[in-house]
Amino acid sequence: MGITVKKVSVLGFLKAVRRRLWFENLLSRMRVAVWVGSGVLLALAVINALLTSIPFVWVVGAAVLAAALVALPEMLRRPTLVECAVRADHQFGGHSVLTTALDTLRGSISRTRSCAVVISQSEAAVAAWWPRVNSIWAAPSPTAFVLAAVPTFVALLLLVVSSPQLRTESAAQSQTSSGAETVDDADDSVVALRDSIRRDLSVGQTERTTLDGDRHQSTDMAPSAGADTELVENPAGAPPESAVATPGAGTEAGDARRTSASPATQAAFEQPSFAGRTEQQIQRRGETTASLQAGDTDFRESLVARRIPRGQLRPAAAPPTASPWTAMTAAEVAYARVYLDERNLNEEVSLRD
Amino acid sequence: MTDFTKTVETVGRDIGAVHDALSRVIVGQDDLLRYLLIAIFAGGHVLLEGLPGLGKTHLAKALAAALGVRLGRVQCTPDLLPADITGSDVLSADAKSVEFRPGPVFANLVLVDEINRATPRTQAALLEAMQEFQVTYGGTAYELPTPFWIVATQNPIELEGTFPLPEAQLDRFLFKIDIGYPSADSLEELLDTSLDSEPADELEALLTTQRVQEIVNATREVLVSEAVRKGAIRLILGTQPDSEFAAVSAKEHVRYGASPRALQALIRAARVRALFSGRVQVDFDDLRAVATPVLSHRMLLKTVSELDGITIDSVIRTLLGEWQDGLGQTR
Repeated sequence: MGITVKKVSVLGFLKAVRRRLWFENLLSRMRVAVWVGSGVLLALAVINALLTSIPFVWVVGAAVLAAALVALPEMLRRPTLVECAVRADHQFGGHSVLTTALDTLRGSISRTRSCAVVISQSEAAVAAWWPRVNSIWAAPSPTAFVLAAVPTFVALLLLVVSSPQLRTESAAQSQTSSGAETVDDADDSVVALRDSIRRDLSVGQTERTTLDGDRHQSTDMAPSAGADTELVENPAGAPPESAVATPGAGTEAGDARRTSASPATQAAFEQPSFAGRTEQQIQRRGETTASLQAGDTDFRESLVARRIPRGQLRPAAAPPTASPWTAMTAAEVAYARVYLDERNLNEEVSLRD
Repeated sequence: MTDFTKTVETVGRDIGAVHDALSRVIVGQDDLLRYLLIAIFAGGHVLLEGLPGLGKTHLAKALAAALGVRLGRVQCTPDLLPADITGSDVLSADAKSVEFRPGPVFANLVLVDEINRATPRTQAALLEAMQEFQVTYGGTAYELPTPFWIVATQNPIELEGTFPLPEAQLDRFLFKIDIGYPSADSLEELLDTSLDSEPADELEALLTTQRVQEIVNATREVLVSEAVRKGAIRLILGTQPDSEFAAVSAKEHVRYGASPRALQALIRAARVRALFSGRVQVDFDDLRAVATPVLSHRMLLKTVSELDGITIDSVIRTLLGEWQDGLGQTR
């Protein structure tokens, strides 16, 4: 019978089809993945806005993970040659000639007289279809991707609007621009933190507070009545830690560093060169001053214990990398805001006196 | 050009000639003729269902004439006995011995007219002939001629005094073909050709029994790929409401789905259709084309669906749509 089989041409064509089919399947699955990802993003954004606060990174990460889980199986799965043959037959009207030829080449069909016919027909078909092999890939409509951007945009909008940090920062900006009290818009946690900081500062000003005991009561600059009451009722000699450790005071572990740094920051504010600087710059300068003076101050025992003996030179530490802008945390913003309030109050009182 | 390529070409030419001859006799029934030829060359039996006067008997006679095979005819009535079909022992002329006289079933193409008017006992006499191509009488088995087909007709109305065919016997028919009314143009042509004459009687034999058998054998060399086989299996399983691959329409309307014999019939018929199209491999389109006549008498609708006016053809159409969608997903 003399069957001449040219496996290369048929199989080569099928492999070319497979590459395109894989890409098409992948794009098709990615379209689903984008929808799934945007759906997860939207759902988490709604939960974030209505129920509980979820970190932004988690929300985005969950959406990306869901999309990846949908797209990954298709990315890893390559279409089989039979699938490619069926697709090519369907696309080019081959009436299963490639599918049957593939089975014949694999030996899964018993050899009969018709095998030679189907092989020769498949080779002729491949030769005719090869110039059109690119048409095997049908590009999916971009509409689905574009439409998927809508829920994504809505979700991101929800996330941005419901972000507490953003609300605090916007409140701080409006307070700075107007010079008026804007703490009503801040979160309760920030208010509580500010109150605790205010109490810490009041320890450093014990004498003045004691002498002018009715000063805070007579001013209208106090942010809230509750805060004033606590400030007045605070014992003059009470240590700062007692106020900080009060349950619900809004402070956390690690805030002691900022609390203990407040005299240095206060000292930094005393310098005339700070006129006209922003809150952030002032805060950063204050902290830098605190760290430089840490070896000479004795308000922290640990720092005193680590004082370098005379004659031993420590290698110069590399200066911190300068950056044009460092975003302040909410606590830092509240801290600086309280301190500015206090300073303005002191200046006002001294002018009045 | 290989030998088989020539075979395919000659088969296509012969079948085309038979089709053209029959279409001159049976006017305006191209689908019917195509299905009938597919069933004949697939070696299967055909059940024709249609109202009186649509040319069912005429068609069978014309087919036998065109194929050049011997025609046997049985007109079924309630008092027809099995021996009237199979034959019986009769006393010989010299009255010294008893010999078996073959009945009308001993022909290549047997026309069983109005089969549902015969009693179940007589209908059962055809079962052995249809399945095993033999007749047993008096303990002796008599082989039927090759090729052998039964073309039965039945009337869907006037059911009084009839005996509907049991499912076991229905399953033995490869195709059940519904004959509809011809169009206006076809009726006009009908008047021109058969008003004053009987064209079927004037039809000359275009093939011989041997040639018919060669064509039947050639259809068995048509290749069926693994994907097409799986597609056929999915189609059959789709008709079974309890199957994991059951189609939605089958779950909703079908009480009993198609049998494994239906799968064999589907593939055999699809092979013939492929060969008629000049191909040596079966395609999904072949399966779809022959699915309705293969499945329509092998599926039972739920009573509720029947009362709702759901027809088996509409269910098959829906089922084929679902099957096609399933194939599209795999492509």
